[in-house]
Amino acid sequence: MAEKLLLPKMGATMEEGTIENWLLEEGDKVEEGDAVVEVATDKVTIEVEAENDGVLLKKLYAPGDTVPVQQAIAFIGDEGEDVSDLLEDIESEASAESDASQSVAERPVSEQVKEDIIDSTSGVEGSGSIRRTPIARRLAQQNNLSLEDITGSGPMGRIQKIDVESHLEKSEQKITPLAQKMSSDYEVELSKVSGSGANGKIIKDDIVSAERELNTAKLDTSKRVPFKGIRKVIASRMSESFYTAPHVTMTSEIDMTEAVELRKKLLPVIEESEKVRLSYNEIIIKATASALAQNTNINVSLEDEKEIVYHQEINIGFAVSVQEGLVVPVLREVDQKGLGRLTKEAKAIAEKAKEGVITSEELEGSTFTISNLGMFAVDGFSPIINMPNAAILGVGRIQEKPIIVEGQVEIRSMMTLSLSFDHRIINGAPAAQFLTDLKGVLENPYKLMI
Amino acid sequence: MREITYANAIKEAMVQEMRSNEDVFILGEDIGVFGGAFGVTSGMLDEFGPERVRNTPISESAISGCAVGAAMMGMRPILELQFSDFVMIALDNIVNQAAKMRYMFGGKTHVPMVVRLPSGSGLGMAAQHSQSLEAWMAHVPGLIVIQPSTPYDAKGLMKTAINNDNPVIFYEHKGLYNSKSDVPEDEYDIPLGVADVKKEGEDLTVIATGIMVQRSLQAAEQLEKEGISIEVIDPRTLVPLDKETIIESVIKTNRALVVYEAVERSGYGAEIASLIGESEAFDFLDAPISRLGGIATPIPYNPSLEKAAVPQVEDIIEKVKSIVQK
Repeated sequence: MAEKLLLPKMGATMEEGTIENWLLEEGDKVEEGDAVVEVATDKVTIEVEAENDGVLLKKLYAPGDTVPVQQAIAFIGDEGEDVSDLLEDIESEASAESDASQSVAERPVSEQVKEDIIDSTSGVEGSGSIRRTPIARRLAQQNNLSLEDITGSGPMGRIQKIDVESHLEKSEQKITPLAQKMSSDYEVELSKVSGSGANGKIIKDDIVSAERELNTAKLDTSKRVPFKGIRKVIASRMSESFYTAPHVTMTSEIDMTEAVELRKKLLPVIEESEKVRLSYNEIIIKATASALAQNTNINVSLEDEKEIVYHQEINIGFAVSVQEGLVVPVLREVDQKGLGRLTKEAKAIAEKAKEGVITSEELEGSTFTISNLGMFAVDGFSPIINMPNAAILGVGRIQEKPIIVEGQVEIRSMMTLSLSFDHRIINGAPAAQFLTDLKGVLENPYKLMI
Repeated sequence: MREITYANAIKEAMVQEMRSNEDVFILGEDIGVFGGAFGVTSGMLDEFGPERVRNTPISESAISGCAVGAAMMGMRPILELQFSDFVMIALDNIVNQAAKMRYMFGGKTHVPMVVRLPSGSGLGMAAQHSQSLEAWMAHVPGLIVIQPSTPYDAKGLMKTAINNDNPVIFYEHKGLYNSKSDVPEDEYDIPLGVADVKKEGEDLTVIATGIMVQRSLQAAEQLEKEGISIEVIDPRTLVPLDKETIIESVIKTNRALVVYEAVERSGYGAEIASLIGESEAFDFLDAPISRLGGIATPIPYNPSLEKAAVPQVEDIIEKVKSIVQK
């Protein structure tokens, strides 16, 4: 006798489902628990499983059709079985649907109770009458097997230990036809897959996860490092900045010839007074502070998306690459300090950062950040803003280039600056002005004296 | 090590004990010059004289009565009854007296005696001389019941029996008297209540007693060729019984068969089967616990029928196969 496959009610609010995709064709063999059709609800896509063994005799709806819950969507029965009666049933049911609830209510209560009793006892009988040895029962229990699935080879069909063992070993695990097909498509070895369906049946999801594991295993020659600690902190800060602040990056080529000259002259002076060697880093920091002092609308930050803070102090952070990642020590009130003191402080704080002894206070309070990659063969790049700053300056290498100066080709020390700014709080023109002013200071470093 | 017979092993144990302990003596019918019905005591008269190797009238009642009295007075008598079947005449002395004295007198006396009982079928001795009634004895509190299956076990257990302060029923199998095995010349004890795993196996545990131990081992050899590996356990002493070894073995093999010569119905094998069923081995059983014992018939005189009345090697093989279902 063919059985109707009903559209299940998967949640309290589910009233209908849309047929997405038939997983089996009419005439395909079906086992109880096999996924037959994918149905979309307003929330999820579900697989409707067969509730009896047999053959998929008839699909009643095509993909895209919307069907109310508890409605028959297919017939499953013996091969070649005539389903015309069932079809008629469905049609008459559809017409009588409106008074269906009434007819149930009209049936005598005693009859309904009787049916319930028969249902429950037949279930108990089914499982209780299985002939099995104590150890077979024990083994089946330990392995979550149902004795109903095992054929006994002992006297009178008694299930013995060996039957449970061979059932366990059986390479032909219980598997849905879809999972079977997927396993051969994906070349997944079934003996290594454990089923999560009813009675350990392998279902589609098991193959999907097994396949995923398989692919992961193939790549497993790579070194794997847990994503944690400072790496994770950097990652979340980068993402936060990159995805919340709309970045605009503008670049400008700077003629550093004068700055190179300045450094050459100041180097022995500062070395004598401060015992440290002046580098371009400090000159650029100092020049940036000077340009920030002229452009106070760059030395800002957005607080809680409520207020724009115009900082009084010019505190410049500069990115230092350390073994585990990246830290940004902060030089305070840079505009108030001379190059000698600045160099000394910058060297000291960078050293602390590299040794990992820097304090969290020394990493806080920046109002602007500089990321200098001048020691590498990098000309320009688009840096990510170090939140809560509103802008960051990327520094490229200094390289001698032929430049046209007053109609003449001259060899000049050139450098590219890249300014990324948060367009939410800084407009393009002020940013361009800042960059232009900075260019002016670096190309005419005597302005630092002002 | 030298090989000696089961009969000589028993004699050797008795001789060695009598040499070292003046209190030990033996009494029975025709045990002197004749050497006993099965020759077990041959030569003992020459060594120990008629005082300690005492021929008695043909009265098991008298033999057992004298023994109980002597034992209570501090001697350690060994009684030889020609056939275990005759123990019926001695039962009042053994069951009502020997088995009860120590208990009833609150330990003020005890009855250290060994009742030697040649038992079993297979020698054409017909219904009154071939029975295996060890279950009767095992049923009586106060009696120790021993059933050795090899010369080695017989010697060690006889020494233990003689030195035990309780009445000991010592079943000797007539069919085993001429069987041989390695037996140390020196004295040694085999403790009571310690079973011997005669052969290890995987598929089924056979618990066999008396001559059935040998038959089970022969069956095991043939079954091995067919891929069935059986474990053969000889309890050696029925009272006390080594339950632990039996249960552990059944937990390992998942199957149990008790093989005994006595009539299957109400035999001691039923006791062993029951204790397995009641034990923690239950959850490990993969087949019903089975018994293979004698047919409920007086032992026939006709040799073919006599054979058919008690389990033979082929019967054991067939029974094992029906249980193992391999």
